[in-house]
Amino acid sequence: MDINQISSQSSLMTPELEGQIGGVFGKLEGEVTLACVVDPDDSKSVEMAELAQHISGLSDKVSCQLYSKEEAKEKLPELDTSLLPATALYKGGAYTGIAFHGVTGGKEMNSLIFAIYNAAGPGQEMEKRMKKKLDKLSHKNEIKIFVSLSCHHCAQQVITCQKMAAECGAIEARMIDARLYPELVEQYKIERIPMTVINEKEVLLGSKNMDEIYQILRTYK
Amino acid sequence: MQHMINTKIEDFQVSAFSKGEFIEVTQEDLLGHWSVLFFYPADFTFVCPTELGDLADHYEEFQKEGCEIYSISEDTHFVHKAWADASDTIKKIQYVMLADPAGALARQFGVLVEQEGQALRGTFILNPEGVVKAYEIHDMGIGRNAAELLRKVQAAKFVEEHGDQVCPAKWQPGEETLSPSLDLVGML
Repeated sequence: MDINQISSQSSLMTPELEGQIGGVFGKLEGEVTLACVVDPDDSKSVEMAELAQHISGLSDKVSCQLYSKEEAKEKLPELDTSLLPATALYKGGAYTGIAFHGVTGGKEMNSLIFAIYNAAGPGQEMEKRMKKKLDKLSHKNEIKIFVSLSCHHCAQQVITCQKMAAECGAIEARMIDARLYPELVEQYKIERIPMTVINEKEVLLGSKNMDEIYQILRTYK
Repeated sequence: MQHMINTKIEDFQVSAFSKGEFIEVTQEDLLGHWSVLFFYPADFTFVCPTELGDLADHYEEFQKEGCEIYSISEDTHFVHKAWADASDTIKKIQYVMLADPAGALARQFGVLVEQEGQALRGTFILNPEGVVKAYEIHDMGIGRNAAELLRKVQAAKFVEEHGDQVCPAKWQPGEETLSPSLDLVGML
């Protein structure tokens, strides 16, 4: 299938969901772009592309751009395209550090909507003391959050980490639907979720608050 | 009927048979580490030695988890010794065998069948504070599985260490994507 033939209507969306998302998008201040890297011959890629395009149609402040893997390697070199589908948020042409690997169905729809809300603004409130701490981080921190779409705690963890990424250029937070990448389940020995891997060294199990995550990030200079 | 989850163990003092010796055990001995209280009806019966032997075979794994095992029947510590002298299965037991002839412990945990003076097959997992975190009670003839008990101890420890903000993962390749659900109340 050609990328341009992918529908902008998702079967995962319902009128009720559109109404809820529209309520959030009505508050958006800035503009964001969903950069969706897909393999047009892969059903999950097509599913995510349809969902991203459908969501972007709910607000003139959200746009969507589809890329093939080859295009993305050239135009979005900062993005990990080894795990498709990959959807990243860009603001003003710059990568926000927020990305999703997999289809943001189930509870992860919350993560995607909050990511857009936090990247475009106004975003969730963050304590000033935490913002100050994050501003001092200089080491580039990579956070991977392995999730299951049915897990409430997973979405909470993704939202927390991606809020930190939205506020701090030194943090990248990527949601990974472990179900789609069995090789990673084996590699990281994932038995419980959410499982958060920080800089390929530290592992957190369960949903943690920003302070708990920051305590690990601060050890990297 | 009241359940026993999150019930703290009450004071007790009983005699016990442990590695060839007679000792005294109190509730204080159960604190500071995970414990399994393993009630069974009586010494010199047939299902019991297989259960206790199964437990003995897994004892090292329980110890690696920082968990002590206490088997309990309504026999005296002298009978426990006689059973160990008579049975190769019981002789290999390294955990403590509590004697509860007065029924105080079995009554405390609700497993005493008063008219028979025997305990049901009750298993209780206590955390290091002496609080019941999981238990099961079988009728007399229904045996238990030490490997499954070990899994429960590990699960209880995991939840205690990581809280309840975590879900077990069960990956099913080829599952359909879940329909999105939004729960934005109180988060914006």
